[in-house]
Amino acid sequence: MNDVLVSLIKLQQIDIALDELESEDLKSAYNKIGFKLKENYRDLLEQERKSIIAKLDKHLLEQYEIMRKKYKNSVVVPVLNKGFCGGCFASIPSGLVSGRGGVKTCPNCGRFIYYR
Amino acid sequence: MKLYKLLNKKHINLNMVSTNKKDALKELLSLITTDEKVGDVLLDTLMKREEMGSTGIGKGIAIPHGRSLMVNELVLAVGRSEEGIKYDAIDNKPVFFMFLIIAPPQDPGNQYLVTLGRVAIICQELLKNNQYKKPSNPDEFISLIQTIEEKL
Repeated sequence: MNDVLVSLIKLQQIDIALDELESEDLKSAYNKIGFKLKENYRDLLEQERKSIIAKLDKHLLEQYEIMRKKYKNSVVVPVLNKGFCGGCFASIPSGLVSGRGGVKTCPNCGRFIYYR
Repeated sequence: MKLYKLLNKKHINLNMVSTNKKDALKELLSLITTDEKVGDVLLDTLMKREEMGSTGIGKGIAIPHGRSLMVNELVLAVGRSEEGIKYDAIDNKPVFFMFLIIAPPQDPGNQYLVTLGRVAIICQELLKNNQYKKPSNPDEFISLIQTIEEKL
């Protein structure tokens, strides 16, 4: 897993966290358990998002943001066990992910893909 | 939902040696993955969550948690420390017992939040008479959780 892919994964995790921390379900669970978030928790995540974005290639980031509008929190997805895209379930050519080069995308839906 | 059914004895360490939060999280994550990059991403996720507010809920208990693309399904890990872990908990006291929860971004029925709530209830039960100190091995710990859940 290369560093650019790790940055994309972290970026998506932050976007997921930003969405989920606003959800009533999470707030309710946190209240019941007694977790307290700092008042500036959102700023902390936004700062982290900015620092990741600063290191990413501009075109890659554009690609991420375009796909985020379309796929929300499912832009970076795993290749499933039998070689299918974790987003659209299309078959991923076996040579694609193992081949050399940068970050790979699903030939069908365009999502960023990774093996875990 | 039964918590004991989600527990894997390989993910339980009843003799933690770490004395600070970051090391303790690393120690627990080492039970879940041997892949350095995966471990680093998970640690980063958990530490970011801690920066927003400690998951040390007081009385020696911490429930670190987060969602990550690095897991296929909900993963739990349990750690117990005799010495105590400096954790920046809400009561500023050391943590002796940790219940780690990591979930994938999408999970059926929002199992993540259900599990988080369940873990919090079980931790309160484990505190009674210091029950969490009694198990001497992971099998005994899982049996204790099963016993607690059958009484709830």
